[in-house]
Formats: sequence, structure tokens, C-alpha cells
Amino acid sequence: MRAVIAGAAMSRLKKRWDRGPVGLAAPVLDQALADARLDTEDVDGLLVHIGSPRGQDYDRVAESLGLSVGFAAQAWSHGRFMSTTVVHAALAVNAGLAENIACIAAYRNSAFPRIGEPGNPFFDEVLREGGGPHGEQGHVGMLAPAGGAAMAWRRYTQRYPVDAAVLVEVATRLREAAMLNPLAVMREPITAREYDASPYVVEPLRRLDCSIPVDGAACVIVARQENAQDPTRAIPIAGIQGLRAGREQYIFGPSGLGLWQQSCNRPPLESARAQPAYHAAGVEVDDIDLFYTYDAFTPLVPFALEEFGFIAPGEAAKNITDGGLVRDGRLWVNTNGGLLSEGHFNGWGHLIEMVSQLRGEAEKRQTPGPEIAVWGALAGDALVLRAP
Amino acid sequence: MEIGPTVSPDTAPFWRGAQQGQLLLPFCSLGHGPTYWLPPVAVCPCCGNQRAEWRAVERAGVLACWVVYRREFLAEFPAPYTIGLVELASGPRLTLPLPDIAPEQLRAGQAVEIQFRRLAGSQPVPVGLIRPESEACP
Repeated sequence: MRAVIAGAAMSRLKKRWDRGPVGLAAPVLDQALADARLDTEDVDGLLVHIGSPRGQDYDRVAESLGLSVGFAAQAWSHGRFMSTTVVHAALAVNAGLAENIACIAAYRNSAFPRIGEPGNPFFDEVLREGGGPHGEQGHVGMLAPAGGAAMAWRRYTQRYPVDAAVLVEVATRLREAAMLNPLAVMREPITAREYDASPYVVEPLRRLDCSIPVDGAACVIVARQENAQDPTRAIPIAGIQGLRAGREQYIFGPSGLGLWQQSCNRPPLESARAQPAYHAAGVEVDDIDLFYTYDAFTPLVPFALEEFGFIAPGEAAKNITDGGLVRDGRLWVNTNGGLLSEGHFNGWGHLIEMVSQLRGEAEKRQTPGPEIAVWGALAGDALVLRAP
Repeated sequence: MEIGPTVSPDTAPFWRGAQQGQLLLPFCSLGHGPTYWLPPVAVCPCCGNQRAEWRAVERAGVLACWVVYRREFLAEFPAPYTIGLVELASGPRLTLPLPDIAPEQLRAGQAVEIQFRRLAGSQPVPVGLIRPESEACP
């Protein structure tokens, strides 16, 4: 694997930016290129994550930003495709199809009604034949992603003994991290009383268990390691794995939870520790300094810690309430504040944070000398990044 | 606004069954045990058989878990309402509303009867009816 993240940039996340997708993308592309010590002419690949209507599609992006590339693609507009985009770039660079690929996510949620409501770009998918992409069954009122995540949490708490304080612990820790993050949208602390007073959206999940829709933009430049202009800041993409799919998979729950058409057979800890991306990177779980996961809802954090082999099935909630999100006094999971408090930027904020941490540039959030940062989401995808 | 399931020839038999008050599921037993599955498409997920039969199954199941929508997303579904995940007697799990019962009366393992009602559209959809006094299954 010889691909690196050579440059990275991100806007502040806001509940509303008064710019369109191109106006959001242009400055982060410039900043990411400057970070990589490249010019626009060096960009020979373009991968867009969120296209129109929330963002803009790859063809118009290239046209508008003055790019002329020989390798372009675009991912489905759901959040799970952040890592797919990076994987795609790494594979293309490794295959010699491009040398410097700009991966761009630039979009607004503020221009549309909320997810689950008519007028939201995903509304038709709520009624998708067979069920929506987050477990929706719109024809019976199962309308929003929160419904599926709530069902997964209910199923999990029926199966395992769970201290109810785990969710407020997740929400609180990530909020504290966001308050140290100048890019984050949520800046006020959460108290236990506020959490308990937070209204249920889909019980058992409250508003403070749900992530914050935002507007923003990010760009990373994926390049060949040998071409990196500044090797002291280039981040090797040491291991990758793609999305999983099948009857055992659900993006808001671990495999074998017994939700939807899943079996009730949770993979044991030893197989969760044997992720292909870990193997490709030559790392064990114990080597991982920082972990980042798609925390659209608070329960997804304990679920992911189990799914990626940090904790045995059923034990993550207790681990977290025993202080498991903190090592040596520092948060080591979703140090940007997560989707929950930095803002729901589909994982791009997490990726930018991983790069910052590995470069030693995470300022007040900096953990001591991290070597290995892993993105691992319940959709099955993973990225293993190394320090330069 | 008419809110109903999206129906192509893939799932049409299930919805025709629903119109007749029947729980009609795809079925296959070629080279494996008798198997029903959801979502209701004619391809067997065990063996790939593309010519599954459609059979009317017992309109019964057991409540696995549930959630309560407390925020309204669509006026056609005024909150609060309960959505349950039911393990059908025939095997697969079905997501459906649990009307006519307070969520505090729900227990995992309760017996559920499947009926079909028009909710937000003209196509009848499955709903789960539970008698609160019914024993949770051992």
C-alpha cells in the first residue's frame, strides 16, 4: 500500500453556511493543495462524495474548480461512503491510474428539510422497496435513521446488562472534545440534567443521542507516497477495507445482534480483532492509539468498539461507564467531537482529525505521539493510518 | 399525501396478499430446510433459486423489540406511535406498527397477531396486535 494523504483541509462546520457547494469546495481544495505543496494542474483525479442536491456532482465540480482530470468518480450520497472514497483513491493511486487525487465533500443540509421529512433529498429512500438504507419502513411510519438506531439499542440492552449511563457518557465526552475543536458546531457543555431533559426523538434515543446536521466542506489529497512533497507530513494509508453487505449487516448495529434478518450470533472477540485492514497494516488492536467511528447516534460508539475488536461482545457499555473512552486522561475515540458534537459531516471531520493528530497538529486535542489511527464503522469499512 | 410501500414486480405478491388479508411469504426448500424470508422477493437467499413459491403463512409471531416515535416526521403518522420488530412463526422478522397498546404494556416475547390495515395510503400494510395480558413466551 503506497498511497498517502498528502494534504487535508476542512471548513468550520456550521448549522448553516451561506454558500453553495462550489463556494464551499473551492477554498478547501486550495488549502488542501497548499498543504500538499501542489498546484491545481497537479490534480489528475477527482472523487466526490456527496453530490447534488446537497452537494455538487463531480462533473460540475471539475468544471467549476478548473480541474481537468483523467480519473473521476462519485459515491452514493450516504455517510458510509467517506471511507469508500478514500479507499477508491488509494486503490487508484496504487494502480497508477492517477498521482494526486482530490477527494471532496462539500455540501449543505440546511437547504433542505430534515431527514425523514418530505422534501429531504432522501425521502424517497424512506419508501425504498424492501426498506430504506437506515432500516426505514416508511409505509408503516418507521421514517428516520433514528428509528433503526433506537431499535438496535433496545435489542442490545435486552440482550446484555447495560448501565443506562453509557449513552450520556458518550454524549458528554464527545461534547467536551468538540469544545476544544475550533471547527465544531456544538460549543456548550452537556450536563447530566440536560441529557435527562433532552426529549426522546425515537425512544429510547433522545435528541442528545443524535448527531447534528451541518453544512461544510473538506478535501484530502491522496497521492503516491514517493511523490509526497513533504514526507514529514504525509500520512500513509497503511490498511483499508471496504463496506460489508448481506443479511448480517446493518449500519447502525453490530453483526449478529438479531435485528432485522440478522442471526443472533455475534462474532467472538478474536475474530473482531482479525480485521483485514489491521492485517494489511501489520497492526494488532493493542497497537491502535486512536479510534474513529461513525457516531450518528450515541450507541454506535459502544457497538463499534465491539465490532472492531477492542472489547468483547456485550461488554462495551460497562467498559465505557468505567472510563474506557479515556486513556491516560485523554479521550482516544472520536477526538474531534464526532458526528455527535463536531457535526454530522459523514466522517470527513474524523478523517481530518486523524491526519491532524498523527501530524501532532491537533492543538488542545492532541494526544501524546500517536502512531496508529483507525477509522472503523459499523458498515464494515476501515482505514488504518500511520504517523509520517 | 399517499404514503405507501414502493411496489415493483419483485414484491408485488406480498402486497397482493396483504390486500386479501394474507401474510404471503416467499418460500424455498431446494437442497435446504423449508425457508421463508424477508424482504419478500422471489429469490431464495439460501440457494439463489429464482422461482420461489409464495405461501400464506400463519399470521403470528413473537415480539422481539420495539421503539416509540415521539417526534413527528410526517403528519400522516402523528406521534407518539410504536414500531415493533416481530419474529414471525415462519421465521423471518417483520417491522410493523403496534397500534392499540400502550408501550408500557409491551414485553419481549408477547404473542403478536398480524393483521392488515390501511394507514397512510390505499395499500393495506401489516400491523401487529398484542393482547396485553398474553403471557410472554418462555
